[in-house]
Amino acid sequence: MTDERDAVSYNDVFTAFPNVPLTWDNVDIYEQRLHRRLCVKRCRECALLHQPPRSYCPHCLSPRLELTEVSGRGEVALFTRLHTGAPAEGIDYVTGHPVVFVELREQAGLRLTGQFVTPDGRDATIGEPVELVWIVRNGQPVPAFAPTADRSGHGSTNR
Amino acid sequence: MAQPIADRVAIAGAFGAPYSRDRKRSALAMATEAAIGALDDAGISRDQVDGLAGSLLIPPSELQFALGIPQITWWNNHRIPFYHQILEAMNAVWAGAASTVLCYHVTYRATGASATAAKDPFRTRFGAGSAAPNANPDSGKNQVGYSAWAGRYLHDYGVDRTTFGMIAVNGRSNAVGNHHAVMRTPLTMDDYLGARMIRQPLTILDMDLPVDGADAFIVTTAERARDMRQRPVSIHASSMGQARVNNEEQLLDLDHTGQQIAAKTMWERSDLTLDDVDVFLPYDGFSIIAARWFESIGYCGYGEAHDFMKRHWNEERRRIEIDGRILVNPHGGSLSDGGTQGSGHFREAILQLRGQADNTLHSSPSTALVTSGGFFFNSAAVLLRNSD
Repeated sequence: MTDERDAVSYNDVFTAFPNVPLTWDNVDIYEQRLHRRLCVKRCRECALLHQPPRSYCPHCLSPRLELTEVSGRGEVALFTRLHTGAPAEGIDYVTGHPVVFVELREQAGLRLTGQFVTPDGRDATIGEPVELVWIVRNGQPVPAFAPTADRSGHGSTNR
Repeated sequence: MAQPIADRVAIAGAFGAPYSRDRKRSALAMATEAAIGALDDAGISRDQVDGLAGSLLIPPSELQFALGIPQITWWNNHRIPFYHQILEAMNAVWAGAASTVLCYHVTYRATGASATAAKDPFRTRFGAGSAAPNANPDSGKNQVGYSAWAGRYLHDYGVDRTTFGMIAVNGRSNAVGNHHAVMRTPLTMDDYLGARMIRQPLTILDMDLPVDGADAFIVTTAERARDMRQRPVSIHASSMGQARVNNEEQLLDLDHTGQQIAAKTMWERSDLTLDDVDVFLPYDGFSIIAARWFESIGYCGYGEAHDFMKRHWNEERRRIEIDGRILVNPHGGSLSDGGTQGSGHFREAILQLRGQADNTLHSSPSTALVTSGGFFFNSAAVLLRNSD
């Protein structure tokens, strides 16, 4: 999926994400973020999704991978509040930076991490439903997660 | 059942250079210091070393030159935790690739480790450190992963933070009696519960203490070890463990980690059982790791570490004494002896089995269990015993 492109064609992605360790494995996903599309990789052979992005499917080893957009809806699998970390716009480590690991409803066990966004800054609870919201940091869209009442299509995060 | 390698390779020398928050020495100097100490401890000369096993910071070539070792026929330079070095050396000695391997580890307080370290120009110039700041504040990797899974642990088993607090207080109480330890101020559970939150639910007391320091070990055949100065400590059984899904974010759950694999395989390779263990040294780079090791290695069921530690708690001494007989991280562990990425656990195991440790409970421990590493890509279990 990246084979036909030159590295220089990703210059805008490198410029937009100066601190991200961009590779041929993940650059397409970051490029889509610039357009506020949340993507993961999907195998065209076995149809399974995987994270973090690879160039061979970790389930069936096929190289036939494609980007697929995910809803960003899911359940909180893990939560932590960080009082230390990389400085970034809009993050206050004194009150704490809330980070959720969200199990996406598209596939059991498939998780993405992001900031937990609520009006009152409360903690997330494990198992609560969330949806995707886009926030802006340093001028770039960043996927984050907010509480939602919509539980439709959820799997079983809580074992 | 014991494997052919069981007790055929031994640790014949061990030395821990002093730990402190700032040694004002280079990493190479500390590694050299530890290596000279280990050679002296084993009573051998540098000429007898033909293998080196390091932990990335100081390459074997640099240490070989620094020590003036004439020639080596095998070397290895593996990342932490510090069990790789011992186990790779064991395999090399068993295979005949080397006869006597010097294993070494140096820990050098990285610039990201503290605000004061970040102001030290020597440290900012030191490029090989492992503490590159994570540029993504939403990343679940490294410390964030351990913290988030610690929260999940408390949630799933319905236990409170005193579970982790007992690991921290136990380590500190033992460190008070260990002259080598960096943190020797007594600690209570109230102190623990009031400690500064760093990454919920883990506090500053749940994370290992960055220090300057070094440890070194001599690994050789059990036969050669018998002719050296110290009472040899043999490696009875060991296994590393790593699960297919082994990254922080995607880990299936805490039941499917390298800990379970290392524990199961190590016991399968052993003639000894948990009942034979006289001293237990679970890795505690994060308190949650040590708490889980109680469960993974077989002392109790999943979620029962809290009750197990409480049942074996000596309130007067504020520490764990399993059956009134077995100490847990008697040196203070990574949380209080110093953040050694595991080398301190091996050092203490050897001192315990030789009868040279500061803190003792069992009159003559003969078997030590070291469970190293954590949940993601780095677990191992090692049974050590002394040779009578």
